[in-house]
Amino acid sequence: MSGGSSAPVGPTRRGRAAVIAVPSLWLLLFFVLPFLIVLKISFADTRLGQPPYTSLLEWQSGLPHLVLHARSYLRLLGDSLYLAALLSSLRVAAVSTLLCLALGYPMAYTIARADAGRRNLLLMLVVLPFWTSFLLRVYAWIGLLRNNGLINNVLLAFGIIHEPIVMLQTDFAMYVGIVYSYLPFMVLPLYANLEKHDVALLEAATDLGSRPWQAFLRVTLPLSRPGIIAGCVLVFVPAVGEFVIPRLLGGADSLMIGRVLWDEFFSNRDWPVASAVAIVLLLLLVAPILLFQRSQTARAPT
Amino acid sequence: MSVRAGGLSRVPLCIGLAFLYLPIVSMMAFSFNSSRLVTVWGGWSTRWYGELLHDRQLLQGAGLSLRIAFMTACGAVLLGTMAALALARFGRFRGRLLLAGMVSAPLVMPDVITGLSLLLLFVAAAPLPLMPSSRGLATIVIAHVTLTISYVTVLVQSRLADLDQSLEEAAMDLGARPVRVFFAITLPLIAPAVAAGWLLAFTLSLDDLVIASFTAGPATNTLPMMIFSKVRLGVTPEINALATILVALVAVFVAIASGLMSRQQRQRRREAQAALHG
Amino acid sequence: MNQRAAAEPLIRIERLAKRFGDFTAVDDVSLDIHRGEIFCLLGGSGCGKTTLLRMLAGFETPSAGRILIDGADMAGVPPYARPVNMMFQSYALFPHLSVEQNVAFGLRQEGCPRAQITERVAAMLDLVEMRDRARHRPHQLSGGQKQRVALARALIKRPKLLLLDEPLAALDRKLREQTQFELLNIQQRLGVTFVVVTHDQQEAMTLATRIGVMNRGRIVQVGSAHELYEFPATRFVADFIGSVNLFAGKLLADEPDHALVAAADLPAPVYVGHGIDAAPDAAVWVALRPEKLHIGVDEPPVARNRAAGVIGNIGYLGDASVYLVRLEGGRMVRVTRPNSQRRPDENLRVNDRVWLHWHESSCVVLTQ
Repeated sequence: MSGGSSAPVGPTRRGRAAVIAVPSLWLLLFFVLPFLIVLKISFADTRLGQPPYTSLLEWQSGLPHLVLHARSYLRLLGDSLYLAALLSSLRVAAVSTLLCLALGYPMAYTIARADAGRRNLLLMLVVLPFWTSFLLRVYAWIGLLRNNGLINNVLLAFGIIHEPIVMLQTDFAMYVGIVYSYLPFMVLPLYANLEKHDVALLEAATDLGSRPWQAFLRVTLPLSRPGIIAGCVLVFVPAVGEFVIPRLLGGADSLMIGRVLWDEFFSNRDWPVASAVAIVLLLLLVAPILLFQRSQTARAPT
Repeated sequence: MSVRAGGLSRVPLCIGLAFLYLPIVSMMAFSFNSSRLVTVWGGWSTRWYGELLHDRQLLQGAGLSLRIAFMTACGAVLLGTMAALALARFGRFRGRLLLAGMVSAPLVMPDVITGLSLLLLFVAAAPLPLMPSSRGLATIVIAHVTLTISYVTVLVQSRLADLDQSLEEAAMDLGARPVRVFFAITLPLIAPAVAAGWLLAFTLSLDDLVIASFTAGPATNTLPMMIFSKVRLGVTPEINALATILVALVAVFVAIASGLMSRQQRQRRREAQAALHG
Repeated sequence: MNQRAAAEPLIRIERLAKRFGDFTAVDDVSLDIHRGEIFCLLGGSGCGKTTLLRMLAGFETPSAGRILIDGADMAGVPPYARPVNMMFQSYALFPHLSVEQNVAFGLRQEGCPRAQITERVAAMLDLVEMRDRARHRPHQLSGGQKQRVALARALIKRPKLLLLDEPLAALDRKLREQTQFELLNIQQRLGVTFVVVTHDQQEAMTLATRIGVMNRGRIVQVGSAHELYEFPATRFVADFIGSVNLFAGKLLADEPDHALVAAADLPAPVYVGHGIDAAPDAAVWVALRPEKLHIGVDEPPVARNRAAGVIGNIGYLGDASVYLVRLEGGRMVRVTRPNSQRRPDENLRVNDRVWLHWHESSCVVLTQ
């Protein structure tokens, strides 16, 4: 039987149109339109006063002219700072994604293979930190990683080290923070995928002579590909624009594009440049975003 | 079963869980430290809790955040359920691809981009009628709702997909109009997903820093914003107390919820057994 | 009952069609269904029977044609406004409601007063013998019990037409037979018109007043079980219902009272005891049902309608035995014989040489 009933009639059709229209209009207005505005402002110039950017339409001799300033984009291309920030963000996001995958996959696998009762408990344990404040947890890491923080104190007390290791305000701390915050986003999609695997497939593989690790490589791993993709995209894309963690845990030299955007906006009050940064970032992320959407809609009914 | 995970693969799980809980446990421990410094253990004390409760500003921020979160959750559930219904039940319709795209995009969008874009929208739209003229509670709620619709839709849509459509058809066949079908049959059966979506939207809103920073006005300060500024200045043990309270609340809530669920499961199993023998 | 009302069909389907993109699920179907009868739509999967049923219920809009129920055109009429109720294959009982509440659902949509609802629900539950489980939830019921509740829920609204989608498919054999008779019983008591969709010919033959065989979206033949079995219109119907031996051949002679068909697999022309209206030298098929073939060791006295062969295989079914006989041309023929004696294998064993013969009225000649 086909999913979704056939064309409705009369009042039902109107009702349906309303149900489709309300969220669509909301998202168009508050999700899509803002991006168009960002695009528009990226082509504007700064000025004093409110709002701190020029209008794109100028009236000259009674007719509207479209005035586009490429200043923001030229600045991005010219100043190597932006490129460096972008590249470093991509690097950090990629490394974090791999670390999350390395830690998250075994976790998801173990949970998926556990007994039904245990499984729910373990899942809950993994998800529970997520329900507590993200900010507070990052803050907790500050307390742990400081020079006179818990970890250093314990190591000093046991005589393993003689001077506190500088962990805060470093790349290391940043990676710890990012992996820590995004781990559930990797574990959950992986678990959702692995849980659906038919154990009979693996049993068939071992029955036909595969060793357990071979069965894993040949059967489990390929089947978990959609979960891996989903998890990686859900970690990578937001991580590229991550701002809070680098600010709190990273060093002054760990330049992330999210921070650049924030600084341009709040410190420099240069909205057009901030917009341009956002647009460039968005363009870069389009490919992974589309990949994610493709994997989501692949499961949709025809 | 021969394919049960071996003992070896349990190690990453334990490491991962330890990793996840280390900061939480340390925060909880030090919230009772009477000394301000982390290096020195000054003995058990609840003074930070006292200070927390007297911090008027912080409490105000918390109150505001809770209000915002509540409104966000309600709005997100309303819009998200509609979107999920449309995507899961209406088959192919004009604009389906657009709606599906708009619903899944926020899930992967970096916060800074959505925050920036919404702020620019509010600034540009301020002179127009109906739009909030100054940024504050309303703008934050709008921003949060937009962000959290996706999460609700994902949860509800997945539940709807699993729901047997012939139940809704049977209801229609028996004389119920589509609206009645939704409220009498569909909604009770997707209620757990809707509730989960509400909670998720609530949590995300309560926890959000970046978007609130962009879309709040100069006068508005949400709890995360306050915590952020405090944290930048230095470590304050009050924060530990706050975190501990939060963790305790969440843990209690989750324990109750899972207790209810497992009781329901046990009851179902008992009834199924009875049916087999009955 | 009014004579005229009895004469007019309850349901008239006129040139109904349903297309899904390139695929035609139902192709130009016209059908009349009479009041009080049990009409079975029989066919394999993908033949369009379920789509046709859903169009009757109102869940699919026809691409062409129309449906008249009691004279009223159902175009644009949604399922909740039709005098039709459906019993779903999965039963579709509402899991969050009790048996009572499930059955009462339809009446509550009608706005029936509470007291009346309670009364009618109790009466209906008595009819399907589920009164003692009124407070149970669907997940506490067995398959057969769920089915009875689904039936009660559909019938309580006293619909003009009840649609049943593969009603017995989920039940095991013993339960199926029992339920078949229960269904018949209830139908007779209430006088409701049934349209049943099924792929199981045995189910169709037991339940139906008339059967409509469907193939690839079209109705191939409509008739009673007896008509379809003994007088199939096409090879498809002959093969679909029961087993049949089909012999391709050419029409040699066609007289009012007899006909001769030369079949390649048979040694002599088949003598058919009635005339066939067909062109001379037409390509025809002779259909012989397995139970109409007599099997024996002795040579039949008459030289007509007989063939010799060797028993290739014997299937013992308890009440009957199936013999697969290889004829001299190499063709395998299926013969069924009731085991009227307790030791049927005494004179017939594998590799025995046997003679088959049949009566001239036993064969059916098919032109399509």
